[in-house]
Amino acid sequence: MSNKNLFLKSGFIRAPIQNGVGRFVPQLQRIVLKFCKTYGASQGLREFIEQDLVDFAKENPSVVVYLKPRRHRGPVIVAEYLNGDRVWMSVHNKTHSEITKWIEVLRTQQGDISSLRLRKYQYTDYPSVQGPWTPFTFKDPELNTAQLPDPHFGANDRLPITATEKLRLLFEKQKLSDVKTAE
Amino acid sequence: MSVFRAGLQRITNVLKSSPGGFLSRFVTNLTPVEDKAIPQTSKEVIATCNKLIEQNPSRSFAIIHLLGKQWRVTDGDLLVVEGYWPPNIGDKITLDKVLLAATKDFSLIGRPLVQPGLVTVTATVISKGLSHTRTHFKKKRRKQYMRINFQRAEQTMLRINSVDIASKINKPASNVF
Amino acid sequence: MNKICVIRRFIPLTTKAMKCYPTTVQTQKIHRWVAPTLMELKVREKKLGGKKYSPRNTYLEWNLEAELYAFGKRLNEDFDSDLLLQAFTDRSYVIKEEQKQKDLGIDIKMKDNRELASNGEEFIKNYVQVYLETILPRFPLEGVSGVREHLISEESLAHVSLHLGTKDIILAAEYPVDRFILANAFKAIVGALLQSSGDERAAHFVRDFVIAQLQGKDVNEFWTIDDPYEMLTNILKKEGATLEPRLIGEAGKNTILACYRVGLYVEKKMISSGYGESIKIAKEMGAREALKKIFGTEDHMKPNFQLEGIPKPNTNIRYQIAAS
Repeated sequence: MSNKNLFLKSGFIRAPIQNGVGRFVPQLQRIVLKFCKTYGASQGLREFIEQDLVDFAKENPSVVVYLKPRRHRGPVIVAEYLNGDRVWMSVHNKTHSEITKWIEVLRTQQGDISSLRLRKYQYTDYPSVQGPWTPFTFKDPELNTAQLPDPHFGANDRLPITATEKLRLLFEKQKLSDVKTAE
Repeated sequence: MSVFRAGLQRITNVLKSSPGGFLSRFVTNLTPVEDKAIPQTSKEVIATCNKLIEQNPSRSFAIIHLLGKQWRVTDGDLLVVEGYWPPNIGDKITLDKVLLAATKDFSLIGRPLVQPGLVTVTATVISKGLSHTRTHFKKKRRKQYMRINFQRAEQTMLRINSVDIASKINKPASNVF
Repeated sequence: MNKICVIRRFIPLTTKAMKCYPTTVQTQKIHRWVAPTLMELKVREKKLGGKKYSPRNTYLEWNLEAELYAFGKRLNEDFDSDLLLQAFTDRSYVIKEEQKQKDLGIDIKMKDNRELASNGEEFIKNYVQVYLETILPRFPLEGVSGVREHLISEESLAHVSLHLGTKDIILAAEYPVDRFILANAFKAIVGALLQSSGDERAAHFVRDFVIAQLQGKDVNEFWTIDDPYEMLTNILKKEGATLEPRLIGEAGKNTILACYRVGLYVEKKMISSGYGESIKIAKEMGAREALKKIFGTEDHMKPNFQLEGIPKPNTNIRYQIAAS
C-alpha cells in the first residue's frame, strides 16, 4: 500500500514540549497569504481576504497573518508552525469556502502532520501500571526449598493416555456394569 | 402442526416465567439497584479500596470507549482518533464511557460501564488535521478493470490530562448525565 | 542412456523454477542520474561554505511588533511590550548594533536581556526546587537537585524555548541561534513576565513549560546512587531494622541467559524484589526498588503538574543521605 512510497516518512505520535500537559499552546505561529490582485486564480483567496480575514485575525490573536500581493503569480498559502514545520499550499482556483476550510485545517493541526504516516495511534509512557507479568509472578514459592529432582515437580502430566491404561479403565468400567446387572 | 403448537407453548412459557411477563425484565433493569445485603468481606474490601484511593495516590488507568474503539489510557497519554469529530483544538473534554478503571492495587470492572461519576477522565484536544494520503488501488488482471482512489482521514489528537477515581466505590450512582 | 534419463527428469524442474522467478521484477524507478546529481550539488554547496540559512526576520513578510503581540497571546500571558522586546534582545545583537551606530555616528541606547535573564534564572531555580520538594515529599534533597539540574539545564530550556517560537524573534548577531542564546531568552522571558504580571503568573508559566517536561520521565534516573544496597541498609539501621536478602527464584542457571530473583526481607516481610543476570545485580535491583518505595518515586507514582500558586518550602523532614 502507501507505505511502499519511498518519500513518505513514518513515525509515532508526539506532541511538542508536552503540549496539553501544562497549558495548551496553539501551534500555528504565522500564516502568509500570497495572491495576485488581478488574476482569476486568486479570486477565491481575494474573497477570503475581503470578507473573513479580519475576523480570522481577531479570533486567533496567536497567529500572525501576512498578506503578500504579487503580480501575475499563483495564489499560495504558507503556514509556519512552532515546531519549525512549514506547509506550502497552492490554492490555485480554489473557491472562497474551500479556502476557509483549508485555512481551518492549517490552523488546527500541530505541524506538517500529513507528511507522516502514523504507525501507532496511541502513545503512552507508562505501558504497565500494575506491573508487567513475569514467569515468576504467580510461581509457587514451594519450589525454592524443594530438592530437585523431585517426582512431585518433575512429573510429566502432559503425556497422552496410553493404550494399556485405556484398556484397564475400560475393564474396570465393565466390571462395575457387571456388578450392576448381577444385582 | 404439533411442532408449531409446541413452539408457541414454549414462547408463552417464557413470557409467563417472570412475574409481570416478559417485558418486565427490561423495566426492572432501568430501576435503581436494590440495596441488597452485601457480605461482610466485600464490604471490607470496598472500604479498603476507598481508603487506598484517599491515602495512596497511585497512578490510575482506565479503559474508555471513544468513537467505537476502546483505549487504555493513563495520565499524559496521547491518542489519535480518526474520522469526523466536532471538538476543536484547545477544548477540554471529559471521557465518560469508562469500561474499567484501576490503580496499582485494585481494578474496578464495569458491567458494562463503571458507575457514572466515579471515574473522571479529562482530556485536551491538541491537534486536528488530515492524515497522509492513503491510496486505494484495485486492479483485476486481464479484465480491463482498474480503479484508483485517494483519501485523507481527519485526525484528532488528544492529550489525556488525568484519570481520577473518586473514593466512593459502591455508593449509589447519581444521575450525572 | 542413463545420462538422458537424468536430463529428462530435470527438465520439468527447471521450467518450474523459471516460473517462480520471473526475469523482470517490478521495482520503483529512480533515474540513474538522481544520485550523482544530488552528490554533485552537495559538493558544490560545501565548496561555497555549507548551507546558508537566511534569517526569518529578513523576509519581506516580517513584522516584529505583530510577532511579539502574537507571542504573548499564544502563551496566554500579558507581557509588557517593552520588557518583552528587551527579553528578546541578546547581548551579541547590542554589541553589533553599537558598532554599526559608531560607524554611522549616531547613538541610540539599547537594553539587552542579561538582567532579565539573571532574574528569571533565579526565579526558575527557586520555584522548581520548591515545586519538586512539594510533589516529591520523601525524595532526598540530592535527588531533588538532580531533577532540578536536568530541568533547568541549558539543553532542556533551549528545547522549550525553541518550541515556543523564540528562534525567529530573538535579536542576535548570529542565525540560527545556538542553545545558549535560546535558553537565555527563555530565562529573560520569565524575568519579563515576573516584572509585568507578578510571581504567581510567572510560577504557573514555569510550571506549564518547564516542570511539564517531567511528563513521561523517571525521576530516579537523574540521581545516580553508587551503592543502593548499602544506602538501604544504612537507612534501615537508623530505623533499627536489619535487611535480609533471599534468593526466591532462578532460571537458566549456568547459562548466558541466567535470571535470578532476589527478595529483600525485613522481619520476615518482603519489602521488594529485584531481577538480574547475577545474584549481585538482582540484589542491587531489589535495593533500588526498595529505595524507590521509601522515597515515594515508584514507577506507578502519580505525577502532579497542576499545583496552584507557589508552594512553601519545607526541607525539615528528609533523609539526609550525604550526611551519613
